[in-house]
Amino acid sequence: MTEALLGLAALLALILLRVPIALAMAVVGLFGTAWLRGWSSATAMTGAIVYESGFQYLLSVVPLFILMGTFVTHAGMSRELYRASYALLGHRRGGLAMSTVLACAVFGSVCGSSLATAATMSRVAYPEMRKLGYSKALASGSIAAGGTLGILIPPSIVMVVYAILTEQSIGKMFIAGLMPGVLATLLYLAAVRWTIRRDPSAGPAGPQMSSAERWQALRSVWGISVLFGIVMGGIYFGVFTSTEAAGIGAVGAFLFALLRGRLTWSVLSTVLVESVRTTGMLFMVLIGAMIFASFINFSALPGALQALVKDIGLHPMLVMIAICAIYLVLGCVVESMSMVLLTVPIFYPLVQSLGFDLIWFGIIVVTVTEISFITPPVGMNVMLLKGLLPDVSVRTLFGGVMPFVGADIVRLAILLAFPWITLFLTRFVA
Amino acid sequence: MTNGLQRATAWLQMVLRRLAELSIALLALLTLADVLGRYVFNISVIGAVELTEILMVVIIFVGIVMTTLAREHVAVDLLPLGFGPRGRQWHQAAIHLAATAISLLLATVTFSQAMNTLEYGDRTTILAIPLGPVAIFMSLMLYLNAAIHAMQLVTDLRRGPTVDTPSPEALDD
Repeated sequence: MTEALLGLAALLALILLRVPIALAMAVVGLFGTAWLRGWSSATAMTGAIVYESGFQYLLSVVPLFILMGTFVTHAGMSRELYRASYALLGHRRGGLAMSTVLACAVFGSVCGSSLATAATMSRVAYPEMRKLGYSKALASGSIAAGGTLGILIPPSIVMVVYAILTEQSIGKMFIAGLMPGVLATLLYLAAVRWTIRRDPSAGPAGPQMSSAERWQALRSVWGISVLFGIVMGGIYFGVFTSTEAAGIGAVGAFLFALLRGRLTWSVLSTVLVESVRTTGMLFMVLIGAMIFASFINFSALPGALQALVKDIGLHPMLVMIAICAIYLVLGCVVESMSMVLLTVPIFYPLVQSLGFDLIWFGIIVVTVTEISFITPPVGMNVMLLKGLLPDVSVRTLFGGVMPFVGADIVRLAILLAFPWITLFLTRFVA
Repeated sequence: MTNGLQRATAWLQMVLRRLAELSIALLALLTLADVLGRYVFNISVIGAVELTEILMVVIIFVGIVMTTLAREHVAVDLLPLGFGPRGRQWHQAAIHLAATAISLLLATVTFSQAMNTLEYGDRTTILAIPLGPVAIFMSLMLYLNAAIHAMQLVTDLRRGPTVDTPSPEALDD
């Protein structure tokens, strides 16, 4: 227990000194295990972890879904997506911000990365909103928040990583994300309405499309619907495993980009190389986290944590709320994926021992991770948009995001209170 | 000497890019062929799982080296550390030095794992592909990774003091 706490302190110090997180976790894990078990077993264990992290058939979903997302991002379909959402919502007050949220949700259904979703949609949605006189806060806030839907609406890289850490089915995890994804989208729409009610000038209504235009705009996004339908439908009805679905999705996204005439050899090369690099970055963190996790397991911290909770006799739901609070605080200072990799091995045995469903906990973790993407001072989506939209100040950005953070907290409470929202669909997974 | 080093880096990057393109494209096509084969033609690709695993090794470890080359490893640069230009330079150097040492350590433990695999003559079940060389590839990539960290240490020290800019890394995707 003491060793684990010292290890955590050392890790935090290294991270704050800007040592890359993966390497910091690896070195603390290695030396920590050496302290507990001796040097030779620590090196043997570390060697085995690195070796085995390579030969993992299941993990091949990670590069494949990253590849799918990167193809879709480069296919340049954000304009059509935005137009289609506009066709449904644009003529309402705050309609463009609502369109942005909806377009982000649909984009997130074929892309598993929040940053990619926010980056892609910002190019189209921001100029459109500003043209119509939307406030900078609402325009940028709706993109930053909408982008976080990328990791909640399946497929999602964070979910894959969580499922692997906790040995849950990736397919079930994805299906569990569907209803919370819809809920999140609706609550974000409500957050836009709330902003407009407080300040009607923040988001005027756009001109209404004729029904012919509307129909055409909606028809232009058939490709993305087919792609999502094949991948998620295939998993839901048990036609293919998540690995197979990822492979089909990647090739489908390739065809999609090809048909749209967006693929030159150089774009193809960029997409492939970028996907491999993103995979490498992710696996470095994953390997570091697994070395660190094995140290944590040797140190008996998870067991001590369970004993402690039992001794105090806290209500399980209070423990869950405490865990969420820890995540919300941690999410303010630690990068999102690293936060998941670092904390899930510590928390999930406790959550499981309290009798909670680990798929449900996974969705809770994804939800708090989403919040960490938009909370100050290191909300990654906000930082990303700061880079992409130089005329918006960080203060305006965080201000614009706040109603959405409020919506997120409401969602978190709903998901905690009603686990069936998350688990309902997973019962029918073939 | 700098010129030679630059040329070597450019060549290395080219080789890594080709390896990356090839391995991930093959992975996607292999998965597709396997699924189509099974559901449409009722034949599956022999040893698809093993081939996938070996392609994964290439993708992951080439990806790690490329991430290092692009200086894109996730780090938190949240707190201003309050060093002067000189101090920042030493801080940077210390990080690179630590990164080099840790990578070297990881490479070495993986190498001894690889030697064991080679010694036992482990092979995949169906296609009997020897696993030793694959494990050696892993450790070689990690040694290369350490070398790149060391090279970045040298380049940064030569370049002299720099300004403290918040790094955009990890924002790539």
